[in-house]
Amino acid sequence: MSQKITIFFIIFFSAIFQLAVFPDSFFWGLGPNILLLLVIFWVIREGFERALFRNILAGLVLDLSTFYAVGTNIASFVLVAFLISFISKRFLVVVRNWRIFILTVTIIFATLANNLFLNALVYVVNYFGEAVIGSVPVPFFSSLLIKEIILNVLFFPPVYFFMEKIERSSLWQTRRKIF
Amino acid sequence: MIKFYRQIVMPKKYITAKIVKLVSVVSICVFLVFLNPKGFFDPVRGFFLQISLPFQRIFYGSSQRFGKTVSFLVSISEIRKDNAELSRENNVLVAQITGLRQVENENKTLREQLELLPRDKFSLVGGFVIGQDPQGSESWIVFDKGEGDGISPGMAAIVSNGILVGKVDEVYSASSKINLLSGSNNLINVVDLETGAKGIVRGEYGLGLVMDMVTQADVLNVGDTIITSGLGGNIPRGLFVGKIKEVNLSNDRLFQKAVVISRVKYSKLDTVFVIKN
Repeated sequence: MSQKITIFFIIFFSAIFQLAVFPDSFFWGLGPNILLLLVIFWVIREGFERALFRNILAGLVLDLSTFYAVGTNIASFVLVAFLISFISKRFLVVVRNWRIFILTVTIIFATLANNLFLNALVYVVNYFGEAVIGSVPVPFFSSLLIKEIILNVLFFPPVYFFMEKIERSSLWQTRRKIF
Repeated sequence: MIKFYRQIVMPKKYITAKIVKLVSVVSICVFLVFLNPKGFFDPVRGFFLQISLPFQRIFYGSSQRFGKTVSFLVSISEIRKDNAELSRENNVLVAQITGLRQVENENKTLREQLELLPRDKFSLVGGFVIGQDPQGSESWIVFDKGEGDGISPGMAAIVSNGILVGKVDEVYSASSKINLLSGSNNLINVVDLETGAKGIVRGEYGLGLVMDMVTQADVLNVGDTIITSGLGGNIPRGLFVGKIKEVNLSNDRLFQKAVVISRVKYSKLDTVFVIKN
């Protein structure tokens, strides 16, 4: 139970940071997508199925806080998580010497995939239904996406070590190292 | 049925529990997305925003103060130089005030002739910005006043003395979402103050504000002032939008298009006023 409460608070405050702190703290006016980094962390550590509930919760909190239509970020996070679990199973376990490189590529790939899924979903929904998307994602070929990728790559190590510290302090059962 | 599907339609190895979960969750999400226009999730979002409001206030305020402190520390060496320059400017400005008093009277007369609402007659609701678009596209902000303060969708949001920054989009009990002019999903009717050319202002990625749909017969000049036209919606006429930086033809070459520079840095907004009347 304490683990679930901790996860909820981590997700909640990550969303608040993303909304209220990061846009004003960086030169580019945007910050790293902490919730996406958490999704990557959990999927690599726990696998797609065990991290599914956390990914859904992260997507829901992001949808509610950033005025996206509820369901948009959930679907995107779940699809990204599936792709990451596919990559991590095949490469992170097998190629041990290149883990940092593969992890960096995974973060870049996850950021691109997340943006692509969001844009695709917004396009499909707006095409078939009323204009239901409250927020509009950054276009796929925008320079903002490159900036987001750079920030996500830079911020993954702090997120990783922070989460690992929390896991150590709580009663987490599985502890598998990425690095 | 599932057995039939597994045996006939797809070989067994492709339908794993993982894929079934993925497809189920994504299908449910897409269904949920289509429920959004019916306002199904508005109470949930309202509740969430109400819980997060105090945290957002604290964090946004702290990050603003932190940002200001950092910029102050960075610019501390320039303060002495700035002080000398400001003293010089002060002397010049004192002389200009006399001239401006005369202009003020002319302005009052002109506003009466143009039927503009005097700025001090607006019924304003002031509040703080407590969050903004995390994607860096400056398309919306979160305002810490909502339904309880008389805010409703479509109202104009301004800063200082009548500079339009956006339009209220979604309203919840204690907070609201304001779509900024720089966002692509906000359209405002505007007019060129000098030539009377009418058009629509919207945000465009990488360009800032763009005044579009101006007919070829109208005249747009670099440096012209763009104000709201007051046509459609709750946005009063005469709010300052920006100045024209460059004029081009639209892609289909049917209309004129102008890049408009705003005086407001949207990512640094901390206080905003919403016009109620």
